[in-house]
Amino acid sequence: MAARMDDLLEQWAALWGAGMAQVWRSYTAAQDAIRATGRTLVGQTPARLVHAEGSLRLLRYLPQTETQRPVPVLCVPSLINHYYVMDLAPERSLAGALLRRGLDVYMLDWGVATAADRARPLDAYITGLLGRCVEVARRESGSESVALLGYCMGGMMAAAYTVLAPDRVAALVNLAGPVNYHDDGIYSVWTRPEYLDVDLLVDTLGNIPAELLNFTFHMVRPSDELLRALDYWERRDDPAFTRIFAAMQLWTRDPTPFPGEAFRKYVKDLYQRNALMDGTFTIDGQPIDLARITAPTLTIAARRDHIAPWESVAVLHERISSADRQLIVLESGHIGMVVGSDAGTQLWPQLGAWLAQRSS
Amino acid sequence: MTEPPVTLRQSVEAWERAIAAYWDEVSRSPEFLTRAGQQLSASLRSRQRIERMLHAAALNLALAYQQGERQRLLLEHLQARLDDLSARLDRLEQHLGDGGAHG
Repeated sequence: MAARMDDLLEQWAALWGAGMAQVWRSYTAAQDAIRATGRTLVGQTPARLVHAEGSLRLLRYLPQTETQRPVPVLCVPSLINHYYVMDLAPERSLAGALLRRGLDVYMLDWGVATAADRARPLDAYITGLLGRCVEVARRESGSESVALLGYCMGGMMAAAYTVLAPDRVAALVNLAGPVNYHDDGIYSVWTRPEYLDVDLLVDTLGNIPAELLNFTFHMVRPSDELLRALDYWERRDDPAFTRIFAAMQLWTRDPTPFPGEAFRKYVKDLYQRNALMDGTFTIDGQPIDLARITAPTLTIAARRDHIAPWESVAVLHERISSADRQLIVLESGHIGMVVGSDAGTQLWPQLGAWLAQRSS
Repeated sequence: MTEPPVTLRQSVEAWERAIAAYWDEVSRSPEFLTRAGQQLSASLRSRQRIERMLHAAALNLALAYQQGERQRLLLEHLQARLDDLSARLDRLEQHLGDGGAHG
């Protein structure tokens, strides 16, 4: 292994001399400007604040069509990433694509966890905060039930909520939300109890700092950053590219802290015990039996997803009892599926059409 | 026919694939993860110890401050009494002086 590393270092020195040094310096020097540009682009789709609670906000996007479909769509992002990945830039917005379909779209923004959120259990995020957002969306829209669109960790949260409140959920979309946590993914390996003492981490740090999460995400494939630098170097004069690049850079480097107690339960129950798969996962003392889901359900996985491997997402499709269910596996990655250059021809039309059919 | 020139991108992509595969292998290995986990736990325990020390130091500081404040108040009280006594002595002396002059 050491010899292989020596070879790789030698090759790297050659690349550095062949021009990569200039690419890297240009990229690192541009970071502040990239982030500043990104800030002007994200979360720009016009919306109205309809509910706020602590750091949480619930946004209702302004309609972009003359008529709207009656069943609202509530987007549930991950607890630890900013919601604006689903509204990354005016020309790269999943929320915008759904609005153009005539859907009535709500966005849950978990906000940035503070010390006040440290003791809030995962259960309270699902039945409390998410539950209240569902109620607000129902009240605002006048609809009996909502369509839940959960992305990443939000997929698990939306599925758990659907088990507990089936009458409130007209349709469920799990977008890259893992269900089987004992998969081949790197997080599944890194969080094993023999390597990670979750109690020590939470008892010491409280909320898991955003910097630590950022470091962890980066360490999945640290060398990826070199390709980003090269992408930027090659297309730095193309404004259409640099806009999206800036917004993406901002989002990927801008996680939010993971509330301490929610992290404890999430990692111990799901990653370490895989409790959602063996039926022992509970929320507010009630078992989350995925077989109790009967709502129309769309499961979307990405074949190159290294955060939530597609097989671990697709399991939901097999576990539920819904007569109306569909599984889509896209040829993209975890983030690219939502905001990549082909999202507008792959994910958005398929998701929009599926939701539109079930939101009438 | 000559080979097309290898661009910087091709070279970097090939190198990145190789290093990523290497890193994936390393970062999944029990040896690496055991050491990383031990180091993380050790850092967290150190932080807990430092926090306990700082907490105790802050507590001691607060106690010392409180004690100092009590002594300052006591001294102020004593000073006030001394001032009062001194004023009373002055008045007594004045009174005695006045009495002597009249007697």
